[in-house]
Amino acid sequence: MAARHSRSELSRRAFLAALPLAAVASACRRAPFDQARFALPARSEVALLPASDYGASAVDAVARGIRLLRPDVRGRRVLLKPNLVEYEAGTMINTNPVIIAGAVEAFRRAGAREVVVGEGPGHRRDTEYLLAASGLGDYLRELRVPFVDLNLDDVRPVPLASQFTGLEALFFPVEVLKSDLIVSVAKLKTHHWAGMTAAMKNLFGVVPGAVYGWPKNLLHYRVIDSSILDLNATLRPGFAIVDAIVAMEGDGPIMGSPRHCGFVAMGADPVAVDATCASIIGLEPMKLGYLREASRYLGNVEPGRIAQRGERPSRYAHRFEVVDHLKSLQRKI
Amino acid sequence: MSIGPDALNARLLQFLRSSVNADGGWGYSPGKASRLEPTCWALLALLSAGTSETEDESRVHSALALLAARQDKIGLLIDVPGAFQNFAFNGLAAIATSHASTSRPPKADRLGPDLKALVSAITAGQGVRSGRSWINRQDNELSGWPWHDGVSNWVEPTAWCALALKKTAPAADARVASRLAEADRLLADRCCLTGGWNYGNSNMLGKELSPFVLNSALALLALQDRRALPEVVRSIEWLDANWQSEPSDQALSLALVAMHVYGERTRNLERALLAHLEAAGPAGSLAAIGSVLYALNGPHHGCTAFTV
Repeated sequence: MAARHSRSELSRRAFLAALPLAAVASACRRAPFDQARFALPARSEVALLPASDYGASAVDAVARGIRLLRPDVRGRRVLLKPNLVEYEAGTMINTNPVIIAGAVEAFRRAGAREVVVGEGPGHRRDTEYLLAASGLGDYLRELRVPFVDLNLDDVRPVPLASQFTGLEALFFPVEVLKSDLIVSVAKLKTHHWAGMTAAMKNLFGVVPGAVYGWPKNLLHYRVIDSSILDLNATLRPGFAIVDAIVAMEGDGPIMGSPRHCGFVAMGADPVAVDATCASIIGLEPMKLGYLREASRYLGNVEPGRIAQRGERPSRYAHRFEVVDHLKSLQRKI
Repeated sequence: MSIGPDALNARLLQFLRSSVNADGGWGYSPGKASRLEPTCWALLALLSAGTSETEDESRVHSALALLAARQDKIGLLIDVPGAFQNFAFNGLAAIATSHASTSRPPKADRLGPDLKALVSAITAGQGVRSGRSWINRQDNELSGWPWHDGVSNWVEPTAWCALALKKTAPAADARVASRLAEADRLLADRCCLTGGWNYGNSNMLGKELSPFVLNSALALLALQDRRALPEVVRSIEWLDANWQSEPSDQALSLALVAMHVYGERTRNLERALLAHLEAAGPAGSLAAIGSVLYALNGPHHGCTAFTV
């Protein structure tokens, strides 16, 4: 299978990059996805669990969410994919290590055969530094859980299950491909290009930097929304945990400001989890390009198809600051 | 108890030797498929260690043979079959191959990839020029090198490829001179306000972004022949003041090499690298371990693999 891209194919890149998502999809020769290969869940459960800080309440929130939703992990190999993109002291760029550690313990208790943590940071290639600076390395050592640098793993080409990017295939780390369940353990942040980053956008980190570079520029060239869709359609993360205890607003995903929200969002449908998070922070889910398209084939966005468990979303409703060019994504007050 | 630099060096070298694949290359970790970056760093580590072991000579030759077998029709080396060619690691491969041919002649220069073809292919590669944009203060008309074909220019691939050409390409070649002049301008353009570099954006949406130690060291190595540039002057100052902020195998190693090449004091850096290795053990990839070994041994030979 050819995952290599010819110069002539790439010469269309600048043109495609300038187009909105819908136009990119319509520019594809064939439909961007085969509806027969996807089945929307009749109803998606999303749990919101309160946690005031990154102490015991955070660990408890993750454990309670997993007990509540009961993801099927018995005897399975679970890959936890946190968001660890860069590190700046005092900022809220990354998934807090307490959430990741809580997830490791909860999945082990739920009967997972093996739990592995894997990430391929998108800006810094120095993962050893990131693990130490973020504190995640200490937690992983204590829990004796293996960490895989997805930027540097062996890779295999995989045909993409939808074609919003126009790419036929991408190389993915073997550790990701051999997992039975991929869990996106994300951070809730505004994103100055995509609008928001949570469970779905977090999958950018599985694309190997040693193949695609730092940053993973091809994913931007092929339009961020399109890349989010193709990655999620192909890898199908089976569970999502979003750290929104202290989220990021404004100029996210790196330069934004911390915003205390006090909850963890969880669910087996990452689309529904992201739609719930978008609503909570004051964004209109159907105005986010990737969520609008995902609602056609990957998961539920409509509130009527999302069963809220735990706390009500209204308890956490915030109107996040966004950069000026994304004001149109905000819900009308 | 401290094990001392010699014992540490020997231990790391032994680990590297034991991690070689049957095809003569190294993966990012033991048992993984051979890739360009760890193989090139292992090659540089073995060459810098200066061992008299016949088996090391054989390992060097096998690694060079592997790199030669990876060379495609246009001269670039394939990192992953079927994937884009990675310009950054082709730049590193040109540096490692050139260093091998000068430090272990005559056999090494026969076994490695065709350096002339590799340099020619690197010279021909370039990133997309996209013009000025409202999103940041930088000149995107400038072209250096992308990570792979068809995307933008970034600091690390530009630094590796520029350094490779400065070391190996004929200086009188007008095309090479033009590429290098533009690459130097691009690196200067992407320098952070504080000095130093990150992956390649010094600012975004009106905010200044922070430099990283590893990228700063690489960009400084590429600009070692442009020491009067204000961006170089302030970046050396930044690296000297901030290398402690990124205590990892690879960041400390590359910072040490860069500071040595610039004639700066490196004793504290070397101590910090040794202390880090003793405290944490080699925590990085095999590429990082190769760079550590080069940083510990290369300065004894003037870091000639990275000097222009």
